[in-house]
Amino acid sequence: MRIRNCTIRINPGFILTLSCTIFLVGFQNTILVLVAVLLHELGHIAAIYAFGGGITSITAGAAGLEIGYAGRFSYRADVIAALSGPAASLLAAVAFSYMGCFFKLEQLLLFSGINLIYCLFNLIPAGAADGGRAVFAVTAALFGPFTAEKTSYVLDVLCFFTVLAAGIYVFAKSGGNLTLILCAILLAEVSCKRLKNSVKFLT
Amino acid sequence: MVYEGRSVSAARKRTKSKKLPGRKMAIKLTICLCTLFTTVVFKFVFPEAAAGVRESVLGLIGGNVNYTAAVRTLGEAFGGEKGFFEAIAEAFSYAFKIDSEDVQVSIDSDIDETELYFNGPEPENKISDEEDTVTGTADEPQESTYDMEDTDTLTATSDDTGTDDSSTLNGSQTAFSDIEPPENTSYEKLELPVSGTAPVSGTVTSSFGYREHPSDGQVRFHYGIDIGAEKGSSVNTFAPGTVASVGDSTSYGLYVIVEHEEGLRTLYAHLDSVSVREGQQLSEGESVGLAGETGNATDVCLHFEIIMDGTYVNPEYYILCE
Repeated sequence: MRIRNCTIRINPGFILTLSCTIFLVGFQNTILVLVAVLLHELGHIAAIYAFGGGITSITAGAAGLEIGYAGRFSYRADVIAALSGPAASLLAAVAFSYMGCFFKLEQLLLFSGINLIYCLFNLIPAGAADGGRAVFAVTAALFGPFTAEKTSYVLDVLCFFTVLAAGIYVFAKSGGNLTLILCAILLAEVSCKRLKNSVKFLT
Repeated sequence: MVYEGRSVSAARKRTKSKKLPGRKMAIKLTICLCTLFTTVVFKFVFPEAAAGVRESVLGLIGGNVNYTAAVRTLGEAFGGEKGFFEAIAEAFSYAFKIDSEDVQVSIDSDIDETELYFNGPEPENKISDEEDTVTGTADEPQESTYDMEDTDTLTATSDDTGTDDSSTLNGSQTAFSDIEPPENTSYEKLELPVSGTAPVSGTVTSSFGYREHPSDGQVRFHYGIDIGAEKGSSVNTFAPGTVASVGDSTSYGLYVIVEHEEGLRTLYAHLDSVSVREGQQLSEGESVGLAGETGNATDVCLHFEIIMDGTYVNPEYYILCE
């Protein structure tokens, strides 16, 4: 689907994730998750427009929304655009945490928690996650794009295996908790193609 | 450094999105849409079965981890009086269920058998506030007179049973009568929208109000009552309602929160096992689980709380004492 110059895509992975979320956490909490994702992306969009860029695509995928943008962007602007999403999530987490505690409303506290988790997950310095994009831009600005690409590959693999190792540890210590292993799989999904390149590059 | 045209990030994103051929994509989308439709229909038409499958899947993924409590605890990281890192540590203990001594010590020292006003253990603000208040008088002689001998036997209840003297403190509480109760608690007998039944037969081994904690001797507010019971005896719901939360915490052990009508909630903690799941409808006297001594309990007992519109009240007012 195309609206003005922006292409909107919905991947099957998004619908599958949506189904799982509805099934596991219910309709109400799914709406909270979707609103948290939207707030996060609004943070990105605001920064992109602030730097004079334009949105070229919005893709709904398994791990959330992906914003494609175009424009004249310095590395600094790239870092800010990448971190503006987590910043928006963090702001929402703080605001709704105070509101939830003040009004003693569970839904507000849950929403705050969801925003915080989404913020932290996106700050993982790997793959197409915001943290990975920010690290890439910083490294590119300091050492050039080639070094940035290499660093990015190493970080992809490091992050994946760190989360996976932590997942295995938690699984063994807790007697069957798969939470972190699923996080590792989600991380691999987010940067699947890049991960393959990273492994190829390193081996 | 300025890039002409599309940014590096945009270019990188662009390479990521692989376009599937239209037909293949259409098949994938159709399958996923069918899955979504089936999920929604299954949840609406067979809510009980869906809840059962959901519990099994969650059990498989997390070994009955309380994700709701974990997310909610994270939600308190900024606004609650719990510190940021402490909230994170507590959320980790919920989400990953690792018996980390550090986490347990921190939780056990801060969260007493207190209240759960939503889905998980309450933020410690009230506890710490009250601990501070109480510490000043902890060496007063009258505190040593505090004992647990008021072991009234509970049998059955109705709305008009229990003590009528709603402003009178229980025997054990009088020792601390000069201390203001925490916010959101009341020593008065508030009107409940329903009459209820004693959740278990037994004797009250620890009353509502300030008490010396049996494990560390510190004077803290006890937000409910402990009813001594035989291990494995059935714990029944106080009144008809819906299970709002089922969880496991280091202080409460296995617990169940039931939501009744008009802002009334009840909590059943230290259970040996739980026989209900979130969202399940319960009639009065229906079993929620079996009595045990999970969590920070010194003996087999049921920790029972009644919360009316967010205010903790003394359950002994609403259940008949022999």
